[in-house]
Amino acid sequence: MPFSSVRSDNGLSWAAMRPARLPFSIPAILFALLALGAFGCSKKDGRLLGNERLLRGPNGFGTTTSEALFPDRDTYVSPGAANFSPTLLVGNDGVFESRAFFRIPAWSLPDTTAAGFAVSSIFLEVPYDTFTATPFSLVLNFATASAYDSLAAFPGAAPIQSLGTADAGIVLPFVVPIPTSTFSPIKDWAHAPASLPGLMLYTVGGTGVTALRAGQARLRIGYDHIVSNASRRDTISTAIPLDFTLHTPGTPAPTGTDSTLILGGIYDWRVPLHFAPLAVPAGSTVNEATLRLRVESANAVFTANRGVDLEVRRIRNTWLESENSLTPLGTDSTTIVTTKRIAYGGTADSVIIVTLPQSLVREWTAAGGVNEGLLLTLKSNNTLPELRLRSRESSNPIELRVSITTPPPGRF
Amino acid sequence: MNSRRRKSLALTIAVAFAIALPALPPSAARATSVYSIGGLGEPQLDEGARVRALGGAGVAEFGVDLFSQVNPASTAGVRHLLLQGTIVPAYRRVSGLNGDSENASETEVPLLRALVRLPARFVLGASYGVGTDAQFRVERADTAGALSTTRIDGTGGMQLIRITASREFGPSLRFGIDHEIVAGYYREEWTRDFADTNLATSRDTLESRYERLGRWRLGVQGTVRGWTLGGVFETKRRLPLTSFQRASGTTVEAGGTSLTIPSGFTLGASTPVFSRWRATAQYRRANWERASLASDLVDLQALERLSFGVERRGKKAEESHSWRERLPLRVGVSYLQWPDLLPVAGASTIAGGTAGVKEWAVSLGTGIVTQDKGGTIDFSLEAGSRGNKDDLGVSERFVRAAFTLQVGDDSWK
Repeated sequence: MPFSSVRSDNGLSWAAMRPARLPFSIPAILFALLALGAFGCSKKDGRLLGNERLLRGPNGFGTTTSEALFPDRDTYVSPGAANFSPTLLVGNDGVFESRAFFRIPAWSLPDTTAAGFAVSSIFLEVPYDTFTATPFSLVLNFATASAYDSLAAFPGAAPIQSLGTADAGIVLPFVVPIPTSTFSPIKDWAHAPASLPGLMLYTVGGTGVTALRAGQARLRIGYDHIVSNASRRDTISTAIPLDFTLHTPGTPAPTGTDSTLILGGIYDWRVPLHFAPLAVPAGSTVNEATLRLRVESANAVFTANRGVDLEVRRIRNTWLESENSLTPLGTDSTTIVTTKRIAYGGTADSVIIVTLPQSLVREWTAAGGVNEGLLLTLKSNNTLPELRLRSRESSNPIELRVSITTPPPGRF
Repeated sequence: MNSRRRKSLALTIAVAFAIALPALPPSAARATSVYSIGGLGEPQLDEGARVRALGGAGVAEFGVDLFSQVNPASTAGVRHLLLQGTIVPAYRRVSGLNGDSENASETEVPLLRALVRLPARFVLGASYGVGTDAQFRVERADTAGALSTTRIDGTGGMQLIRITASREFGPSLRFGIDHEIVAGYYREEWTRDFADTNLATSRDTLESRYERLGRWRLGVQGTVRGWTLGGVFETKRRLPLTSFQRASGTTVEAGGTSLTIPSGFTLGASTPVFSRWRATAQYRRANWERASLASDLVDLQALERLSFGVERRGKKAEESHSWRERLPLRVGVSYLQWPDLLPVAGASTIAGGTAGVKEWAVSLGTGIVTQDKGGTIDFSLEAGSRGNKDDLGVSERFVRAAFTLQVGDDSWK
């Protein structure tokens, strides 16, 4: 049968490729061949029978094992008498007593040559930090100090000249009125800031601890002057960027064999831990590195909807369990991990789980790797209850769970 | 319905099945042979659909637009620029000892080739072919240690990149030479998900990589009284092998071993048997042996392929009275012995005993020539089985189609 033939200028000629009338036997054979496989009954959804041929030697395909490690060293340490946290604590509570110290590197003064200039008021103003209870009749004195020395032991530098006194926790923000007669020495201090070693806020009466926001204190000077033949009252503020809290030594002092590890709280205790995990076999995967912190059931309950962030840092220096100070540990400034919004509300919160980076265990156990342990810190916790953790000397200590999967064997 | 329409309908159904074959079972696994999970992978036939339809017997093929991959001398008759590509969809059914079965399908491009005629009767060519395919996917529930589900995705295999030169010496003698670069790798991604949500998913990458080095293949063809005889010799090449094992934060590298691509040869003949019929046969052997690859997980033996095919040539348009006379018909049968000797069912290494994989296939094919004679489209369909369920725990039946498009410079003149 003749077919039309079309030749394309730029391509294949498809005219001759119209379906040919094959002998009936050919499609029948094609169909039969296809039917051999295509109509086989598929009893499973594939990929499983291949297991029959996945043969990789007598050691299997890799095994996952979990190891529960307990610390071989744990204690709690104090960051020292000086505390540079975002909260300034001033007051006393039992054996605890603390003072706040300030330093003004540069002053802002009104134009004293302005017409009708007269100082109308001077006061220290500091916003309150969130605190759990209003102090009872806590009276604080604001005074010049003989030094601004964060290395000093409590009570630190002595007060020289009282500038004013105020009740804490009565009005917002915390304000200490200062006599206007102080403006004269203020001018001298402004002229030579080094002539004022420091300022301090300390308890002179009552009990309780108030919490103020660090770095946000202002010394404000109100003054009158004449503008356009009219008397006008203005205020100028001097920021006080330098401050810290100095408190009494923490109690109970750590011994290294305590069954309770105190974390956070008014002394801002830190908890160093050290574990000795087994070396990760070459090529293995670390699937899990989880800290399980167990809180004592008698722990003070947190205020509802209040939580605290737990930070974990690496310790770089060798340390002993008898250590009671943070400084010798040589802790990294950067955190490894931060677990947000931890709160203790009862026995349901008795285990705090902190997921560590799996690479940490590999680093610890690698050849040449350094494992001096971890430091737990509660961020801005000194206005909340401390967390009392069970130590390795207790019956239910902190646990580090490490899970490792050995590598599958190679193809050949 | 008259006879002509019935035949047309039957043809339409068959072609529709062939086209839809790779996509038939939506749940099918994407993998090559179940035996490619270990060893060198499934040996591929890097030939076009025409030679595949002849059972793979191509060592004595030659012509202005006919050639095979197995013999570099077969390209010597090419007169123009030729480009050829082949796509092979395959479908398989795997059966286990307890009566379970599952399906899998994949599509492979086993061959891409370009040839050009140069002055002084030289022909130069380049090609990409697939030697073995190690693609697989396995899912397994693991109970060793923590409960997990493991998925293993295997990829890679051997790829062959060939530069070919050939020349005719008179009408009866052709020589050819290949420089064959053995490329590729074997890679497995192991992903392990745990029932315990505290455990992070582990991912391991296992990779065996060998240096890309070349070897030589020498081919010859001679024609005497209608008989064409062909022969090929392949040289041996040692490829340094490096294994990598990577997991999160760690890499382990191990070298010092090697994969030796063995020497081999291919012999075959082709002869007319009737006026339009021609028969061709071939024997191919690659001398794989235990020393080719040091492994506890696979032993090696010689690869052997026996191929036999017959072709009824189509009549020229001016001589034919119907289309059926113009279409060629090709039928073939082949036997392949894989080089892999795999651990028997129940053994975890070759120390527990090995068994080979034997593959039988029948093939059928045809093709059409474009009106301008510059191009061809060939089609083949193969069906067969491989492996012994009693020895290896699973056996396999397969169907695969091949479509080859070949175009020459006549196509766009």
